[in-house]
Order: sequence, then C-alpha cells, then structure tokens
Amino acid sequence: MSKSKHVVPNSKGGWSVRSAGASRAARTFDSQSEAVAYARDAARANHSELYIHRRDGTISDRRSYGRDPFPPKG
Amino acid sequence: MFHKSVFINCPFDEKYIELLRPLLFTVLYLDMVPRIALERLDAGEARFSKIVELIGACKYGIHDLSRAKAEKRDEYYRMNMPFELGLDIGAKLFGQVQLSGKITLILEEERYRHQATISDLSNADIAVHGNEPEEVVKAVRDWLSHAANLRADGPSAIWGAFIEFMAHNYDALKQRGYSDKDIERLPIPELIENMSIWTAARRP
Repeated sequence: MSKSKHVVPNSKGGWSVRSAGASRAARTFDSQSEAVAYARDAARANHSELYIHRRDGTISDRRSYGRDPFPPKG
Repeated sequence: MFHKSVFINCPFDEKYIELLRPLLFTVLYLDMVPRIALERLDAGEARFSKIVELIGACKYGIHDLSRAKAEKRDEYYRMNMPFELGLDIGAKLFGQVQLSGKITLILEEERYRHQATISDLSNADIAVHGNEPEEVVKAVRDWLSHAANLRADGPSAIWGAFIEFMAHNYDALKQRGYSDKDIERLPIPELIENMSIWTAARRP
C-alpha cells in the first residue's frame, strides 16, 4: 500500500493522481484516461497498486502491478 | 470525553453517505470522537432520547442543513436537522455549566441559503460544501482546527488520507468476502470502527 497510486476526480472538473502518503496531488489532468495512463505507468514502475476512485472516494476500479493477493484485471 | 466529542446532525439517506464518510473521517483524523445517532444499531432505543444524550455528551456540534429543503413539489420540509440544531443551541443556553462551552458549525450547500429559513443564526459559524466530499473535509477541518485549537494537517493531506483509507478499507473488506455493494452499504458503526483503527495506527 505504501506506494499505491490513486486517481481521483477533483472539484475543478479534472482528475488528480495521488501517491500514498503524499500530502498533495502529484499531477492533475483534464481527463480520466490521461490520469489513469500516468498512474498506471507509475504503479508498474513501483510494482504497486492502482486505485481509481469516484468523486466520493469509493473505488470504481483496482488494478495490481505488485505481488499482492489480487491479480490484475484484464 | 466531552471536550473531544463532536455531535453530527445530518440526513441519514443513501445519497448523503457520500458526504458523511469524509465528514466522519475528518473528525477521527483530528483525533476527535464523532457521535451520531447511527453509531448504535439498537431499534428499541428511542431516537429522541438518544439525540438528547448525544447533545449532552458533546462539546462540538456539526449540523448539516443542506438537505432540509424540499426538492419536489408537495414534498415535506425535512425538520429533523433544524430541530436538532435548536436542541443543541438550547443546551448551550439553558443547560448545565459545562454545556455553555458548546461550539456549533452549520454546514450548507450554498452560501447564505440558511438566511432564508433561519435568519436568527446570522452570527453562527457557517461553512458551505457545495455537495462536494472534498469540500466537506476542508469545511470540517478548518472549523474544528480553530474551534478546538488543534494544529491540524492541511485539508489536502486529510483528503489524501481519506482516499488511502477508502482503498485500504476496500481491500480489507474484499478479503473478508464483501461485494462492492456490501462495501458501499457498510453499516455506520463498522465504518467508524474501521476508520478509528486506521487513523489511530497512523497517528504519531
């Protein structure tokens, strides 16, 4: 969980990418697909998990690029 | 415990859970204790008695009036939230000495909307969340940090922690056989317990 990446919609209509433990978003993007692509590459590089959140923080998708009990989707 | 307890007066409907989760999390993150009528699932307990007990046990009160307005023609106005706000203010004015130190925050969806319905409250602390979960974190953090004299982390850090908690909680519940629907409908007492454990484990 320590290096997990989180894609979250922000209140300005864009999408933020956050790293676990960071006090602010690392990057923001106009579209969800751009944010997911950036976060996916970072999760792959770190062998960590990627979570895509809804506006209220709930999880809409989870992908694992690490060695945890959850296999990656797709 | 009185000085760390926060009474939360809000709607208990499926839609409001989107705002209630970050609200509860922010209070727990700040090492305070949220008190809410849904904290105990005891159908035999009289709701009014429970509310009165909670108000008497909490120095702080957060009252969300954003759902008090009727949304459709012929729909009734939702009076529970304004009624409980009145009880809380009444406890401060007429209750025992300890209750005179009670501090209240009113949450609204839009700025100045409360003035159309409860103009007597023009001097109360009021914050606007615009129905945005992230804005709830900021409103509650900013108010509680000042009211309780905390040196609280910034709103963005708390929102980030909430996002991490939601991911952690999702994984933990999935491993215990919960479906996505089960997780979304997690009973409030379990949600509070999970948030309490997670925030306590990360507190310095």
